[in-house]
Amino acid sequence: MENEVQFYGMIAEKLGISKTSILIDFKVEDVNVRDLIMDSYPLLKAMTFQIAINNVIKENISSAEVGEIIAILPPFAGG
Amino acid sequence: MLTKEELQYYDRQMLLEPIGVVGQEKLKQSKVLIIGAGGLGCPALRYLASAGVGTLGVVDFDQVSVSNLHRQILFDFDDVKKNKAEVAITKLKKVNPFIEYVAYPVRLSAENSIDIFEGFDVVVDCTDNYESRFLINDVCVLLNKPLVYGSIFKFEAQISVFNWQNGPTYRCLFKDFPSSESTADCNSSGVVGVLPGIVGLYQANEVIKMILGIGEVLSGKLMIFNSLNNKVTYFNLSKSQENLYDDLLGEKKLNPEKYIRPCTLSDSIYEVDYELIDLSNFQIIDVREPFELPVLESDMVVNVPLSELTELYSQINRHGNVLLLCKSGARSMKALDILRDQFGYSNVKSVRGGITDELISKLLEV
Repeated sequence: MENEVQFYGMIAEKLGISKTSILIDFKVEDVNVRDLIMDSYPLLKAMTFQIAINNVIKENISSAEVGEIIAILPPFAGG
Repeated sequence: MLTKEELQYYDRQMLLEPIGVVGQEKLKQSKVLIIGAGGLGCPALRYLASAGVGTLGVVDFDQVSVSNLHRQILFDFDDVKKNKAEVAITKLKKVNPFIEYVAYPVRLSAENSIDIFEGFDVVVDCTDNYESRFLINDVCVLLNKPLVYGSIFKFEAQISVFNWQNGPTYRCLFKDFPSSESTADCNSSGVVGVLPGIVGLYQANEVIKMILGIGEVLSGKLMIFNSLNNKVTYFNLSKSQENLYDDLLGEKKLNPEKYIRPCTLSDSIYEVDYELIDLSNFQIIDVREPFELPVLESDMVVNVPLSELTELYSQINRHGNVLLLCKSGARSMKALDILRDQFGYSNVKSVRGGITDELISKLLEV
């Protein structure tokens, strides 16, 4: 089962997509989402972002969270 | 003690059971500092003034420009070139003459922020840049003040309350300055005035709830609102377990160097201060959009908007010195990166800090 990935703000704009899905290979119990996303989207290596899994801000995903939504959240500064 | 006129003015608000005279008195006793009288600050100020917050402080060094008027609702054409903090207060006094106002027509800095913040109970971040946002957060942590945060990117907004009752802070969400690839502001990315209006009102609402002790404050949560599809999403944010502030905050003291966006190597090599150079030695390229003011009326200046740079770059000299200009210095650095990385230019520099009145005067002298 896959996880949906939602992109926000400038990251969605730079990637040209607001969501996608990924299949995570849980060779270890906790997988670092940041590494995973940057491997899939090298453009993000130069960008600052936070990660949320099932609406909780954190970096790692466990196999129990398969199917949950992953959100990629860049900072905004405009006002 | 509320006067007869005040009781009449706040009548409809005081009808609400959790407010009443006691709540209205709490509002009157409160002191709220709004930093930035722009797209977020104007609506926040307008409603906090009407709600009867007893003292409103307004920090803004900037002047009103015509391109502000579509979203900065306290201003009109007669206010152009006047200081925003002072004009805002002039307008607000007509809306609610029963409260106190304090204008700070200065650029917020590590040197002046502690003195400004100390007299206020709540701080509202209505700025448009990361340098100010990190500074405001750190001063709030230092002085233990709650911080109401709002920011926008195009059609999306982030809202939260930081440092409220030992809750998470802005650095628990974003630890340090974002990379230059992650930065944009309203001047370079555009904005429909309604969105900062909505966000400024959310900020004002959080302030009122905190003062009155009612409802659920947006602490420990990041709210993201998308104005195109009306989707609102909340993300739970915990207080960081790292010692984020050990190296940043001394005993009531801040290190000014921590609030300057770190220069990349390219920034340090390619950014220049116009005071230190002879402008007559440069082809000057204005990378703002053609409709942006002030128009630089000099034969030396060629307008090549950043949005059309990849089509129009051939207008820029390959040889000799080239100077790139924009409103703040951000877009000219982006243009510089494009010219250098995509088109092989090695003769371009960007003016640090963007277009100022002094720079315009110097251009006219050449």
